[in-house]
Amino acid sequence: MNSSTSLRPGAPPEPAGIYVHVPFCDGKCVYCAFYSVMLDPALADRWLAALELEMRRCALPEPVETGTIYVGGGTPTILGSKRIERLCSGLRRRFPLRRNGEWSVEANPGTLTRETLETLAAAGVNRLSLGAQSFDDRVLLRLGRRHTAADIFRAFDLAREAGFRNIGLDLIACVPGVGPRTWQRTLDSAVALRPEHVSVYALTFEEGSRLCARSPGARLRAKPDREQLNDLRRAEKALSQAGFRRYEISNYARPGFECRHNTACWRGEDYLGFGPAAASCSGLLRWANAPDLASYLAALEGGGDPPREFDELTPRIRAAERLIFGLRMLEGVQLEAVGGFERKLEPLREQRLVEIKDGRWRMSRRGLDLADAIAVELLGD
Amino acid sequence: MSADGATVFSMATELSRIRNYCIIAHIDHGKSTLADRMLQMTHSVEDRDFRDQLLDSMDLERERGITIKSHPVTMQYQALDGMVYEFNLIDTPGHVDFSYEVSRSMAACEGAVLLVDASQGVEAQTVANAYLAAENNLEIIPVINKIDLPVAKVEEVSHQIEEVLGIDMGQGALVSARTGAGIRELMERIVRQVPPPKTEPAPCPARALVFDSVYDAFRGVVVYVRVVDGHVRAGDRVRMLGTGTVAEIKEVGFFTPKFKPAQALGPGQVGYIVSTIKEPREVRIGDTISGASGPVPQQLPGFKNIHPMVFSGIYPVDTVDYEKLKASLGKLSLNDSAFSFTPESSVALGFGFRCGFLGLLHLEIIQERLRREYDVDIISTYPAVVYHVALEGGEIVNVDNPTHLPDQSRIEFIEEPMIKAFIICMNENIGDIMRLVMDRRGEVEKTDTLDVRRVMLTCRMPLNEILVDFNDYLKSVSHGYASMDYEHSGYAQSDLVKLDILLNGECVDAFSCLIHRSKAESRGRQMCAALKEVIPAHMFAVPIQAAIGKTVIARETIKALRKDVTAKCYGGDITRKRKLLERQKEGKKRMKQVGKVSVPQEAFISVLKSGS
Repeated sequence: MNSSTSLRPGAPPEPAGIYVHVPFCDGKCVYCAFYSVMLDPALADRWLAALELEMRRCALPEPVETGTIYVGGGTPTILGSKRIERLCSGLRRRFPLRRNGEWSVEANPGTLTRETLETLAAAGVNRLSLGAQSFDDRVLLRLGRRHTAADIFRAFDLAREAGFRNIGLDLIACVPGVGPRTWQRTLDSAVALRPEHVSVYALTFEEGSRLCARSPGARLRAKPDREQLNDLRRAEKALSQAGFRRYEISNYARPGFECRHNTACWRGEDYLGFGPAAASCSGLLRWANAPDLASYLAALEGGGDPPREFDELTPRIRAAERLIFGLRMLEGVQLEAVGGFERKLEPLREQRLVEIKDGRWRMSRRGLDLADAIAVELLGD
Repeated sequence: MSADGATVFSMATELSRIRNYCIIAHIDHGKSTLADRMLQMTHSVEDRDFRDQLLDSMDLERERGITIKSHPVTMQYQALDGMVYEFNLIDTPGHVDFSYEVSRSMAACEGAVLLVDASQGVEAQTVANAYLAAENNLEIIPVINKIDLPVAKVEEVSHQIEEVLGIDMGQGALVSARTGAGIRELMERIVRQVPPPKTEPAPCPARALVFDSVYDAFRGVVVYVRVVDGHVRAGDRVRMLGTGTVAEIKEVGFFTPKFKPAQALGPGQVGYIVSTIKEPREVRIGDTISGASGPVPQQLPGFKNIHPMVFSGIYPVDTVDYEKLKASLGKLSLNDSAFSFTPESSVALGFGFRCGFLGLLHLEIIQERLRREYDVDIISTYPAVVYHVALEGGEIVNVDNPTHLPDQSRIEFIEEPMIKAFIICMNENIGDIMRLVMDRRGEVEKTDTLDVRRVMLTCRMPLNEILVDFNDYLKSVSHGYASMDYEHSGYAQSDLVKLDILLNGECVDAFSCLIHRSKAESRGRQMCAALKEVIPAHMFAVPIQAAIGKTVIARETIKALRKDVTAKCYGGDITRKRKLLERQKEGKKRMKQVGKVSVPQEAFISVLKSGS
């Protein structure tokens, strides 16, 4: 264990989930506000070395077992199989995965090769999250994606061939200009591939994304709420008919294939993040690395911690957070876990936005469409 | 203060050489410039102290070109007859809101200089103030100013003064306050035409008229007086005949225009008194100051307790500012005895104050000063007038807040305050303006032709109808040319109803107003539409209703929010997302809660502005 503690008192008694942020892409999608830079081989090598240093500075005993690992980005799969192998072996040494643990890696259909897939599988990665987004090439182009629908089919088949038995597809709903028929074709294509998991994210105009930066004249306008809800209902219908179960506002899985890493985050369990822009949660303490590769590299190469922003929660805020994010899941939150919030939940129950079922608070169908407005009600004193 | 004996103080000027006068004029007709020129001609101000428009000392006064407080000044004028005259110029508030103060200032004078801009001609305010001067029996000297302008229409304006105001221009002067032309001629006319003050033959009890006062943190209340009989000196014990307050004089003096202490103020003179009075409420404008001992003389005429005519609730935007607002209102009232405030509370707005004003300008000035000088963010409710509500059994109650209107079933009838308005406009706008007046339930009583281009309408209207945006409409239909002034004109019975606004079934007291039955429906519709624009969607549909009693006369519905959900929310997002939600929560907290409905601050403002 390293004496320079990156982790403040209150270190997780249980091994936390592990997240690694790969800050490299081969381009920027229009909706994306995550931190990434164009792939530069030399920078990627330095980042890998710095990441290993950062993981070693973590105050947990070395090695320590973990139940879930999630490698996101950015585009992890553009690192190439050599760096991926190094990344995975470093992770395995530091945070060996428990038996039956879940190890996810995000992948882009355009850059996924057989070699990469085989490297991932050999390293122990057992879940692939494929950024399909749409099965319509014009829509993919509009979103700034650098792949085609054919690439998705190809990548998916390669992944199956490489032995992946748990593959998730991400889809983007509510894209302006995409009518119900085009959207239905994307849903049908996704279902036809028979993945284990599907995420359906309504297009969000994130601050910092190109969608928001466009000049006012060229700016896309979000679809009206009514049309958005229709798109999302259509997705829910198509997926549930195909045997998927909605378990979070935007996530669907075949039974047993829910993403365990994300589920743990939503339930308010601890996680440790590594890499620029990665966030961590340990008890009441939160911190996030600065979204800046240069200062991340400089700090770790100089023997220090990367620049971080810390945030200490009050138990009340922590409880509110668990409730808010717990309610985003369809399983809801145990009655006894919401002590002190009944006063706020009851009026929402009168409005049929939340309900009590099987000893748990849950959102109603309408509540799921209004999760943010409900969260605002639940926050505060 | 002492009865006058044989001793005559050397500093007291002979009555025959005192001239007390005021200048009355419409905004921008050059009153302050003329006063400056008089000060220069009499060497009352050192050139190094000279700055333009010396007498308007409040920022707001300078900006708006209006006078709110009196600014008296004493000057020594060397006349052509070889004598030195003491000129007391009492610069009066120029707006009818302050007509009582104006009339008290006028009561301290024997003459008035009526100033008219040669390029603009007679305006509404000129008319209203000329009438006031005539009522106060002042000798009026008509003066046409800005005769140096190329667009000056001296003959035409002379004609207007004679025809509209009935004042003989043979007694008048033509000047340019800017260049100084004609000023000496005017000064000579003041000597010749303004009568010297009259006084009771000595010995007689001392009497002085209070025409204004200011509060000074160090000296207490500084009272502005015009001595009518006898003398006042430091050390005298005096009594306010109206309020009964007894005090000891600490200092007397003249305005030069700064305070300049003197030994005494004699008959006919204008000056100030500093006494042991610390409480502004103990000094009332129009009161008479007399000796505390000896025979009690007759009170000078015209004193009355003035009552506010327009009321509005003033609330802090942020409830934590309540104490700050209270302290600020207290400070403002120190220098403004006509302004009143009492605590009140509103279901929608929380704790605030019911404030009384002399009129609209007064209301605007107080609001502006609160924001500007005291830095308090305020919401003010729809202005209301004082209604006389006659109940069964003959009882009459005054209602200045629509929420306090007695139950409709007990009301026999309601009377509302009326005004006599003078509107001067171009001939081509007369149709639009008459329509505007009629739309505001007014009637045009008289139309006078001022000149080939302009007419003056004399109208009788409810005060209530000009409270919010009448002036804006007047300016807009006349492209800025029409001017309006008014005087109060009693009460008249009217078919008034209380219009309530209900949000999600709950009445929002701050939106209630009394309105003529014929206008209730359209006003109700406007208010509902305006509220629909500014109230955000809730998780439930929010009906907005306008109602008279239990009858709903207009309705809008804010549809329920259908979708408000973040699509993607992974681990690293949780803190950021929670903070975003917390910011939304803060925004919501700044809104006012009416039952389950959150109403943003703008709603209170936009509804007030959504006039006809």
